[in-house]
Amino acid sequence: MQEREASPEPTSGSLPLAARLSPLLLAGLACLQIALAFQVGLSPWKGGGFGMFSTNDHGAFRAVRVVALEPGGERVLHVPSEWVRLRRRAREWPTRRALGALAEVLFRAAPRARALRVEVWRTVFDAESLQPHRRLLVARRFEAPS
Amino acid sequence: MSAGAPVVRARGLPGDSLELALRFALLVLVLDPPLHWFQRVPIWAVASAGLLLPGLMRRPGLWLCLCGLTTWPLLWGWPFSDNHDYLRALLCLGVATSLPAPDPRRALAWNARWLIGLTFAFAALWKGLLSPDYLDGSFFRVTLLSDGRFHDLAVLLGGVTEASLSAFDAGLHAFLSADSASAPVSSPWAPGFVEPAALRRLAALLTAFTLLGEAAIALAFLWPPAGRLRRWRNGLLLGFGVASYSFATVRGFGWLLMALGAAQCENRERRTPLLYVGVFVLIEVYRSVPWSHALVTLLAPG
Repeated sequence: MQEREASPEPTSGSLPLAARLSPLLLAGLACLQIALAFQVGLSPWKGGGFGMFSTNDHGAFRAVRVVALEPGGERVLHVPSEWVRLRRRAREWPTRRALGALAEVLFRAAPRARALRVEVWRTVFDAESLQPHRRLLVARRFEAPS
Repeated sequence: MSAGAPVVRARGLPGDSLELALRFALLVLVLDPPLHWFQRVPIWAVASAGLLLPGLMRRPGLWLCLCGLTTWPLLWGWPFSDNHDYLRALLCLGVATSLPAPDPRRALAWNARWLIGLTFAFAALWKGLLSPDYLDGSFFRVTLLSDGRFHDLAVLLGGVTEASLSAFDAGLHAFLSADSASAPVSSPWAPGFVEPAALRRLAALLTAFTLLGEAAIALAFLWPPAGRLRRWRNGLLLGFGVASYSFATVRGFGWLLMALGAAQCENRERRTPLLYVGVFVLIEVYRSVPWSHALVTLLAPG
Protein backbone atom coordinates (compact mmCIF):
# COMPACT_ATOMS: atom_id res chain seq x y z
CA MET A 1 0.00 0.00 0.00
CA GLN A 2 1.38 3.33 -1.00
CA GLU A 3 1.40 5.90 1.77
CA ARG A 4 1.81 9.63 1.60
CA GLU A 5 1.43 12.40 4.10
CA ALA A 6 -1.52 14.74 3.74
CA SER A 7 -0.63 18.11 2.23
CA PRO A 8 0.10 20.58 5.00
CA GLU A 9 -2.67 23.13 4.75
CA PRO A 10 -5.59 23.97 2.54
CA THR A 11 -5.84 27.34 0.89
CA SER A 12 -9.05 29.32 1.15
CA GLY A 13 -9.79 28.58 -2.49
CA SER A 14 -9.95 24.84 -1.87
CA LEU A 15 -12.62 25.16 0.81
CA PRO A 16 -16.33 25.60 0.18
CA LEU A 17 -17.71 29.00 1.17
CA ALA A 18 -19.67 27.52 4.08
CA ALA A 19 -16.44 26.22 5.61
CA ARG A 20 -15.04 29.76 5.55
CA LEU A 21 -18.00 31.37 7.26
CA SER A 22 -16.54 31.61 10.75
CA PRO A 23 -13.49 33.82 10.02
CA LEU A 24 -15.60 35.94 7.66
CA LEU A 25 -18.08 36.55 10.47
CA LEU A 26 -15.28 37.41 12.88
CA ALA A 27 -13.88 40.00 10.48
CA GLY A 28 -17.32 41.45 9.75
CA LEU A 29 -18.23 41.68 13.41
CA ALA A 30 -14.92 43.30 14.34
CA CYS A 31 -15.32 45.92 11.57
CA LEU A 32 -18.86 46.63 12.77
CA GLN A 33 -17.58 47.00 16.34
CA ILE A 34 -14.95 49.52 15.26
CA ALA A 35 -17.59 51.53 13.38
CA LEU A 36 -19.92 51.48 16.39
CA ALA A 37 -17.13 52.47 18.75
CA PHE A 38 -16.33 55.56 16.70
CA GLN A 39 -19.86 56.43 15.58
CA VAL A 40 -21.95 55.70 18.66
CA GLY A 41 -19.40 55.51 21.48
CA LEU A 42 -19.57 51.75 22.03
CA SER A 43 -16.98 50.74 24.60
CA PRO A 44 -13.92 49.39 22.76
CA TRP A 45 -13.93 46.48 25.23
CA LYS A 46 -17.35 45.29 24.04
CA GLY A 47 -18.94 44.16 20.81
CA GLY A 48 -16.56 41.46 19.62
CA GLY A 49 -13.89 43.68 18.07
CA PHE A 50 -11.09 42.58 20.41
CA GLY A 51 -10.38 46.05 21.73
CA MET A 52 -9.99 44.81 25.30
CA PHE A 53 -6.78 45.69 27.11
CA SER A 54 -6.11 48.48 24.62
CA THR A 55 -7.62 51.50 26.36
CA ASN A 56 -8.83 52.83 29.68
CA ASP A 57 -12.12 53.73 28.05
CA HIS A 58 -14.25 50.93 29.50
CA GLY A 59 -17.42 50.67 31.51
CA ALA A 60 -15.83 50.97 34.94
CA PHE A 61 -14.27 54.29 33.96
CA ARG A 62 -17.37 55.75 32.33
CA ALA A 63 -20.03 57.73 34.16
CA VAL A 64 -23.68 58.39 33.38
CA ARG A 65 -25.11 61.66 34.62
CA VAL A 66 -28.79 62.51 34.36
CA VAL A 67 -29.77 66.14 34.79
CA ALA A 68 -33.36 67.25 35.31
CA LEU A 69 -34.17 70.60 33.67
CA GLU A 70 -36.73 72.06 36.09
CA PRO A 71 -38.32 75.51 36.37
CA GLY A 72 -35.95 76.38 39.24
CA GLY A 73 -32.81 75.23 37.45
CA GLU A 74 -30.89 72.04 36.86
CA ARG A 75 -30.73 69.11 39.26
CA VAL A 76 -28.57 66.00 39.01
CA LEU A 77 -30.71 62.89 39.51
CA HIS A 78 -29.62 59.81 41.38
CA VAL A 79 -29.97 56.62 39.35
CA PRO A 80 -31.48 53.98 41.69
CA SER A 81 -29.86 50.56 41.81
CA GLU A 82 -32.97 48.97 40.27
CA TRP A 83 -32.05 50.68 37.01
CA VAL A 84 -28.44 49.54 37.06
CA ARG A 85 -28.94 47.48 33.90
CA LEU A 86 -30.31 50.48 32.01
CA ARG A 87 -27.46 52.63 33.29
CA ARG A 88 -24.93 50.03 32.23
CA ARG A 89 -26.39 49.85 28.74
CA ALA A 90 -26.33 53.64 28.45
CA ARG A 91 -22.76 53.75 29.74
CA GLU A 92 -21.25 51.17 27.43
CA TRP A 93 -23.38 51.67 24.32
CA PRO A 94 -24.80 55.19 24.53
CA THR A 95 -27.27 55.06 21.67
CA ARG A 96 -30.27 57.36 21.61
CA ARG A 97 -32.44 54.38 22.44
CA ALA A 98 -30.37 53.37 25.47
CA LEU A 99 -30.22 56.90 26.83
CA GLY A 100 -33.95 57.36 26.16
CA ALA A 101 -34.81 54.18 28.06
CA LEU A 102 -32.94 55.50 31.09
CA ALA A 103 -34.57 58.93 30.79
CA GLU A 104 -38.01 57.37 30.53
CA VAL A 105 -37.78 55.64 33.92
CA LEU A 106 -36.11 58.62 35.59
CA PHE A 107 -38.87 61.05 34.65
CA ARG A 108 -40.77 59.49 37.58
CA ALA A 109 -38.13 60.90 39.94
CA ALA A 110 -38.49 64.38 38.46
CA PRO A 111 -42.21 65.07 37.91
CA ARG A 112 -41.59 68.82 37.52
CA ALA A 113 -38.87 68.44 34.92
CA ARG A 114 -39.49 69.88 31.46
CA ALA A 115 -36.79 67.67 30.11
CA LEU A 116 -33.92 65.41 31.10
CA ARG A 117 -30.41 65.57 29.78
CA VAL A 118 -28.55 62.27 29.83
CA GLU A 119 -24.78 62.56 29.62
CA VAL A 120 -22.14 59.86 29.29
CA TRP A 121 -18.60 60.77 30.31
CA ARG A 122 -15.42 58.85 29.78
CA THR A 123 -12.32 59.09 31.94
CA VAL A 124 -9.08 60.33 30.46
CA PHE A 125 -5.84 60.02 32.41
CA ASP A 126 -3.17 62.64 32.10
CA ALA A 127 -0.18 61.01 30.40
CA GLU A 128 2.22 62.63 32.85
CA SER A 129 0.55 62.64 36.27
CA LEU A 130 -2.19 60.04 35.64
CA GLN A 131 -4.68 62.51 37.08
CA PRO A 132 -8.14 61.53 35.83
CA HIS A 133 -10.37 63.94 33.95
CA ARG A 134 -13.83 63.51 32.54
CA ARG A 135 -14.51 64.03 28.86
CA LEU A 136 -18.04 64.22 27.52
CA LEU A 137 -18.76 61.33 25.19
CA VAL A 138 -22.39 62.03 24.39
CA ALA A 139 -25.29 64.12 25.76
CA ARG A 140 -28.91 63.95 24.69
CA ARG A 141 -31.97 65.87 25.79
CA PHE A 142 -35.31 64.16 26.23
CA GLU A 143 -38.52 66.15 26.59
CA ALA A 144 -40.97 65.21 29.34
CA PRO A 145 -43.80 62.97 28.17
CA SER A 146 -46.95 65.00 27.68
CA MET B 1 -9.93 0.27 -1.68
CA SER B 2 -7.83 -0.56 -4.71
CA ALA B 3 -4.28 -1.68 -4.06
CA GLY B 4 -2.73 1.26 -5.90
CA ALA B 5 -4.77 4.02 -4.28
CA PRO B 6 -2.75 6.35 -2.05
CA VAL B 7 -3.79 6.45 1.58
CA VAL B 8 -3.82 9.86 3.16
CA ARG B 9 -2.79 9.39 6.74
CA ALA B 10 -2.43 12.02 9.39
CA ARG B 11 0.98 11.41 10.93
CA GLY B 12 0.41 13.04 14.21
CA LEU B 13 -0.39 11.99 17.69
CA PRO B 14 -1.32 8.45 18.42
CA GLY B 15 -4.96 8.29 17.43
CA ASP B 16 -6.48 11.10 15.51
CA SER B 17 -5.46 14.76 15.56
CA LEU B 18 -8.97 15.82 14.58
CA GLU B 19 -10.34 13.95 17.55
CA LEU B 20 -7.91 15.69 19.89
CA ALA B 21 -8.89 19.10 18.50
CA LEU B 22 -12.59 18.34 18.93
CA ARG B 23 -12.13 16.96 22.44
CA PHE B 24 -10.06 20.01 23.40
CA ALA B 25 -12.76 22.38 22.15
CA LEU B 26 -15.49 20.46 23.96
CA LEU B 27 -13.45 20.47 27.17
CA VAL B 28 -13.10 24.25 26.98
CA LEU B 29 -16.85 24.59 26.43
CA VAL B 30 -17.56 22.45 29.48
CA LEU B 31 -15.03 24.17 31.72
CA ASP B 32 -15.72 27.76 30.72
CA PRO B 33 -19.40 28.16 29.90
CA PRO B 34 -21.36 31.42 30.21
CA LEU B 35 -22.26 32.86 33.60
CA HIS B 36 -26.06 32.51 33.67
CA TRP B 37 -27.38 29.03 34.46
CA PHE B 38 -29.90 29.05 31.62
CA GLN B 39 -27.06 29.65 29.18
CA ARG B 40 -24.58 27.41 30.95
CA VAL B 41 -26.57 24.22 31.59
CA PRO B 42 -27.55 23.49 27.97
CA ILE B 43 -23.95 24.00 26.81
CA TRP B 44 -22.70 21.73 29.58
CA ALA B 45 -25.19 19.05 28.62
CA VAL B 46 -24.51 19.08 24.88
CA ALA B 47 -20.73 19.46 25.16
CA SER B 48 -20.56 16.70 27.79
CA ALA B 49 -22.57 14.40 25.53
CA GLY B 50 -20.08 15.12 22.76
CA LEU B 51 -17.16 14.28 25.05
CA LEU B 52 -18.68 11.08 26.37
CA LEU B 53 -20.06 9.75 23.09
CA PRO B 54 -17.25 9.80 20.52
CA GLY B 55 -19.61 9.08 17.63
CA LEU B 56 -21.52 12.24 18.45
CA MET B 57 -18.41 14.40 18.57
CA ARG B 58 -17.88 14.26 14.81
CA ARG B 59 -21.44 15.11 13.88
CA PRO B 60 -21.91 18.63 12.47
CA GLY B 61 -25.35 18.69 14.14
CA LEU B 62 -23.79 18.62 17.60
CA TRP B 63 -21.61 21.61 16.73
CA LEU B 64 -24.46 23.49 15.07
CA CYS B 65 -26.42 22.95 18.27
CA LEU B 66 -23.46 24.25 20.31
CA CYS B 67 -23.14 27.16 17.90
CA GLY B 68 -26.78 28.05 18.53
CA LEU B 69 -26.39 27.69 22.29
CA THR B 70 -23.32 29.92 22.36
CA THR B 71 -24.72 32.46 19.90
CA TRP B 72 -28.12 33.29 21.33
CA PRO B 73 -26.65 34.86 24.52
CA LEU B 74 -24.59 37.13 22.25
CA LEU B 75 -27.71 38.30 20.45
CA TRP B 76 -29.73 38.54 23.67
CA GLY B 77 -27.06 40.61 25.40
CA TRP B 78 -25.70 42.41 22.36
CA PRO B 79 -23.16 44.04 22.49
CA PHE B 80 -22.23 43.50 26.12
CA SER B 81 -20.73 40.02 26.01
CA ASP B 82 -17.01 39.58 26.49
CA ASN B 83 -14.83 39.12 23.43
CA HIS B 84 -14.07 35.47 24.15
CA ASP B 85 -17.81 34.74 24.15
CA TYR B 86 -17.84 35.70 20.46
CA LEU B 87 -14.75 33.62 19.81
CA ARG B 88 -16.37 30.63 21.54
CA ALA B 89 -19.39 30.81 19.24
CA LEU B 90 -17.17 31.26 16.18
CA LEU B 91 -15.13 28.21 17.16
CA CYS B 92 -18.33 26.12 17.30
CA LEU B 93 -19.39 27.49 13.92
CA GLY B 94 -15.95 26.79 12.51
CA VAL B 95 -16.13 23.15 13.62
CA ALA B 96 -19.72 22.76 12.42
CA THR B 97 -18.83 24.01 8.94
CA SER B 98 -15.54 22.09 8.76
CA LEU B 99 -16.86 18.63 9.58
CA PRO B 100 -18.89 18.23 6.35
CA ALA B 101 -15.88 19.32 4.24
CA PRO B 102 -14.05 16.68 2.16
CA ASP B 103 -11.09 16.83 4.57
CA PRO B 104 -12.50 17.97 7.93
CA ARG B 105 -9.15 18.12 9.69
CA ARG B 106 -7.64 20.45 7.14
CA ALA B 107 -10.77 22.58 7.01
CA LEU B 108 -10.74 22.92 10.79
CA ALA B 109 -7.04 23.77 10.76
CA TRP B 110 -7.74 26.51 8.20
CA ASN B 111 -10.59 27.92 10.30
CA ALA B 112 -8.53 27.84 13.49
CA ARG B 113 -5.59 29.54 11.82
CA TRP B 114 -7.75 32.35 10.51
CA LEU B 115 -9.66 32.79 13.75
CA ILE B 116 -6.39 33.15 15.66
CA GLY B 117 -4.84 35.44 13.05
CA LEU B 118 -7.83 37.75 12.83
CA THR B 119 -8.32 37.87 16.60
CA PHE B 120 -4.76 39.04 17.08
CA ALA B 121 -4.88 41.34 14.05
CA PHE B 122 -7.86 43.25 15.43
CA ALA B 123 -6.38 43.26 18.94
CA ALA B 124 -3.16 44.76 17.54
CA LEU B 125 -5.12 47.23 15.40
CA TRP B 126 -6.90 48.57 18.47
CA LYS B 127 -3.68 48.88 20.41
CA GLY B 128 -1.49 50.29 17.68
CA LEU B 129 -3.82 52.57 15.78
CA LEU B 130 -7.28 53.03 17.24
CA SER B 131 -6.79 53.58 20.97
CA PRO B 132 -5.65 57.02 22.02
CA ASP B 133 -4.08 55.96 25.30
CA TYR B 134 -2.24 52.73 24.52
CA LEU B 135 0.98 53.81 22.81
CA ASP B 136 1.75 56.54 25.34
CA GLY B 137 1.85 53.88 28.06
CA SER B 138 -0.93 55.33 30.18
CA PHE B 139 -3.18 52.32 29.62
CA PHE B 140 -0.78 49.91 31.29
CA ARG B 141 0.25 52.40 33.98
CA VAL B 142 -3.38 52.84 35.02
CA THR B 143 -4.16 49.13 34.66
CA LEU B 144 -1.22 48.07 36.80
CA LEU B 145 -2.44 50.43 39.51
CA SER B 146 -6.20 49.97 39.28
CA ASP B 147 -6.77 46.34 38.23
CA GLY B 148 -6.33 43.96 41.15
CA ARG B 149 -5.15 41.18 38.83
CA PHE B 150 -2.02 43.20 38.06
CA HIS B 151 -1.20 44.47 41.55
CA ASP B 152 1.30 41.70 42.32
CA LEU B 153 3.11 42.48 39.08
CA ALA B 154 3.13 46.19 39.89
CA VAL B 155 4.64 45.46 43.31
CA LEU B 156 7.12 42.85 42.13
CA LEU B 157 8.49 44.54 39.01
CA GLY B 158 7.12 48.08 39.17
CA GLY B 159 8.38 48.98 42.62
CA VAL B 160 4.95 50.12 43.77
CA THR B 161 4.21 50.01 47.49
CA GLU B 162 0.94 48.80 48.98
CA ALA B 163 0.44 52.30 50.41
CA SER B 164 0.76 53.84 46.97
CA LEU B 165 -1.70 51.34 45.51
CA SER B 166 -4.19 52.20 48.24
CA ALA B 167 -3.71 55.94 47.65
CA PHE B 168 -4.27 55.58 43.90
CA ASP B 169 -7.34 53.44 44.51
CA ALA B 170 -8.79 55.94 46.99
CA GLY B 171 -8.18 58.89 44.66
CA LEU B 172 -9.66 57.10 41.67
CA HIS B 173 -12.66 55.90 43.66
CA ALA B 174 -13.34 59.43 44.91
CA PHE B 175 -13.11 60.75 41.36
CA LEU B 176 -15.37 58.11 39.86
CA SER B 177 -18.03 58.41 42.55
CA ALA B 178 -18.15 62.22 42.41
CA ASP B 179 -21.29 63.67 40.84
CA SER B 180 -19.43 66.58 39.35
CA ALA B 181 -18.77 66.49 35.65
CA SER B 182 -15.63 68.52 36.01
CA ALA B 183 -12.17 67.42 37.05
CA PRO B 184 -11.53 67.07 40.78
CA VAL B 185 -10.51 70.36 42.34
CA SER B 186 -8.52 68.90 45.19
CA SER B 187 -4.78 68.86 44.73
CA PRO B 188 -3.06 66.46 44.77
CA TRP B 189 -5.84 64.33 43.38
CA ALA B 190 -4.60 61.17 45.14
CA PRO B 191 -2.71 62.17 48.31
CA GLY B 192 0.08 59.72 49.09
CA PHE B 193 0.30 58.28 45.58
CA VAL B 194 3.81 58.17 44.18
CA GLU B 195 4.48 56.58 40.82
CA PRO B 196 7.91 54.95 40.78
CA ALA B 197 10.08 55.20 37.68
CA ALA B 198 10.17 51.40 37.59
CA LEU B 199 6.41 51.31 37.04
CA ARG B 200 6.75 53.50 33.96
CA ARG B 201 9.48 51.24 32.64
CA LEU B 202 7.38 48.16 33.31
CA ALA B 203 4.35 49.74 31.60
CA ALA B 204 6.48 50.68 28.58
CA LEU B 205 7.80 47.12 28.39
CA LEU B 206 4.32 45.61 28.62
CA THR B 207 3.01 48.07 26.03
CA ALA B 208 5.71 47.11 23.53
CA PHE B 209 5.69 43.39 24.33
CA THR B 210 1.92 43.06 23.97
CA LEU B 211 1.60 45.07 20.78
CA LEU B 212 4.60 43.50 19.05
CA GLY B 213 3.65 40.02 20.23
CA GLU B 214 0.08 40.32 19.02
CA ALA B 215 1.12 41.82 15.69
CA ALA B 216 3.69 39.05 15.19
CA ILE B 217 1.11 36.34 15.94
CA ALA B 218 -1.35 37.96 13.51
CA LEU B 219 1.30 38.06 10.80
CA ALA B 220 2.49 34.52 11.38
CA PHE B 221 -1.03 33.08 11.26
CA LEU B 222 -2.37 35.16 8.39
CA TRP B 223 0.71 34.86 6.21
CA PRO B 224 0.25 32.44 3.29
CA PRO B 225 0.90 28.84 4.38
CA ALA B 226 3.88 28.53 2.09
CA GLY B 227 5.65 31.48 3.70
CA ARG B 228 8.50 31.18 6.15
CA LEU B 229 6.58 32.90 8.92
CA ARG B 230 4.46 29.85 9.50
CA ARG B 231 7.22 28.07 11.36
CA TRP B 232 6.98 30.77 14.04
CA ARG B 233 3.28 30.32 14.63
CA ASN B 234 3.27 27.76 17.41
CA GLY B 235 6.22 29.24 19.27
CA LEU B 236 4.68 32.70 19.25
CA LEU B 237 1.21 31.58 20.34
CA LEU B 238 2.52 29.23 23.03
CA GLY B 239 4.88 31.93 24.28
CA PHE B 240 2.02 34.42 24.38
CA GLY B 241 -0.03 31.96 26.43
CA VAL B 242 2.79 31.28 28.87
CA ALA B 243 3.67 34.95 29.35
CA SER B 244 0.38 36.85 29.09
CA TYR B 245 -1.82 34.66 31.23
CA SER B 246 0.64 34.51 34.11
CA PHE B 247 -0.90 37.73 35.43
CA ALA B 248 -3.82 38.54 33.12
CA THR B 249 -5.91 35.62 34.31
CA VAL B 250 -8.47 35.79 31.52
CA ARG B 251 -8.78 32.02 31.63
CA GLY B 252 -11.58 31.58 29.11
CA PHE B 253 -9.79 33.51 26.39
CA GLY B 254 -6.51 31.73 27.00
CA TRP B 255 -8.14 28.31 26.88
CA LEU B 256 -9.95 29.09 23.64
CA LEU B 257 -6.70 30.25 22.04
CA MET B 258 -4.96 27.05 23.13
CA ALA B 259 -7.80 24.91 21.74
CA LEU B 260 -7.61 26.81 18.45
CA GLY B 261 -3.83 26.49 18.50
CA ALA B 262 -4.08 22.72 18.79
CA ALA B 263 -6.70 22.61 16.04
CA GLN B 264 -4.50 24.45 13.52
CA CYS B 265 -1.46 22.20 13.95
CA GLU B 266 -0.22 20.55 10.79
CA ASN B 267 0.16 16.82 10.40
CA ARG B 268 3.91 17.00 10.65
CA GLU B 269 3.72 18.88 13.98
CA ARG B 270 3.26 15.64 15.81
CA ARG B 271 3.70 16.65 19.41
CA THR B 272 2.80 20.34 19.25
CA PRO B 273 -0.86 19.85 20.22
CA LEU B 274 0.37 18.43 23.51
CA LEU B 275 2.24 21.68 24.18
CA TYR B 276 -1.06 23.54 23.75
CA VAL B 277 -2.63 21.16 26.26
CA GLY B 278 0.28 21.89 28.60
CA VAL B 279 -0.25 25.66 28.39
CA PHE B 280 -4.00 25.08 28.84
CA VAL B 281 -3.17 23.44 32.19
CA LEU B 282 -0.62 26.13 33.02
CA ILE B 283 -3.25 28.86 32.58
CA GLU B 284 -5.36 27.19 35.24
CA VAL B 285 -2.32 26.82 37.48
CA TYR B 286 -1.65 30.56 37.10
CA ARG B 287 -5.23 31.30 38.13
CA SER B 288 -5.59 28.81 40.95
CA VAL B 289 -2.19 28.92 42.63
CA PRO B 290 -1.50 32.27 44.33
CA TRP B 291 2.12 32.13 43.23
CA SER B 292 2.58 35.82 42.56
CA HIS B 293 1.11 36.82 45.90
CA ALA B 294 3.35 34.28 47.64
CA LEU B 295 6.31 35.87 45.86
CA VAL B 296 5.23 39.34 46.99
CA THR B 297 4.95 38.10 50.57
CA LEU B 298 8.32 36.34 50.37
CA LEU B 299 10.11 39.36 48.99
CA ALA B 300 8.41 41.91 51.22
CA PRO B 301 10.90 43.83 53.36
CA GLY B 302 11.01 42.79 56.98
